[in-house]
Amino acid sequence: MAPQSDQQAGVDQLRLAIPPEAGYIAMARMFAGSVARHYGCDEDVVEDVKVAVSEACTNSVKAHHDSGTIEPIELRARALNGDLSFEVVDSGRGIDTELQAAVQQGAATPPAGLYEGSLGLTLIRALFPGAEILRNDDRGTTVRFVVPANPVPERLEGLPSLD
Amino acid sequence: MATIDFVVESRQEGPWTVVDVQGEVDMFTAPKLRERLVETVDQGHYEIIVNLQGVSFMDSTGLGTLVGGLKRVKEHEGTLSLVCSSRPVLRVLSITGLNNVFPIHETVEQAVASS
Repeated sequence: MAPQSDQQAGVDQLRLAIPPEAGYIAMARMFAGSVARHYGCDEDVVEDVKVAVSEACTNSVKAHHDSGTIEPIELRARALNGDLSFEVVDSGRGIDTELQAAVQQGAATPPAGLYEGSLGLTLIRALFPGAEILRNDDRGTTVRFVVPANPVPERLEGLPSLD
Repeated sequence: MATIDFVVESRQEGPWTVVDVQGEVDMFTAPKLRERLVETVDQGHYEIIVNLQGVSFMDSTGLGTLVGGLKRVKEHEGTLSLVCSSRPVLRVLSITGLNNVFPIHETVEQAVASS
């Protein structure tokens, strides 16, 4: 379960594999939050990352339980050109294609009273509008979202350069 | 498995039952909160204030638990309000529109005073 990192061609990649049990979702959040802070995300973004990872892992744990899969759920973080991407990859039953289409089309937040799995995906998309929810070729689902690089602040007009 | 520090306790403040929650509310810990809310209603207490001041994180599982509690008290014409000033928790309440469903106060005293 130890985190791993590997590097290729200037891309930082970190991975964490957790057992598909609810008690480990907090650990996934800690990992994702630490990665986001390490790469300079401000605290609001760190919290958004933690929510998105928590939602994705929750769905993955349910999917693994439903299909009786005991393989770990993998959380991957990649830093490339300042952008930080996160993926939660599971080997469960795979996202329902109708639900996938609805979420990808930007289904509105369900009204209060409808809280079945889809709210988690809707929340991920609300926090990270470009988030992708993909059925894996072999089995399971990958949730992927990107934290864009912080824009470099423009020098204010009239202020002397510090260069 | 990691030990999670999550505590749910309840107390009476006049006619209100205050449910104090400490820790992170997610798939693993939410059932404990759910159990307390169900117990509270089963014991005939339908005016509930859920104090989230000690909650550092909440995801949709936690939100669903709160909605479930709200539905239960409404069956008895009761109320469920929240005490919360944590930015991350207020954010998920806002994104999901639940800030328009639950009365939200900054302190238990304010929640009691406005009821």
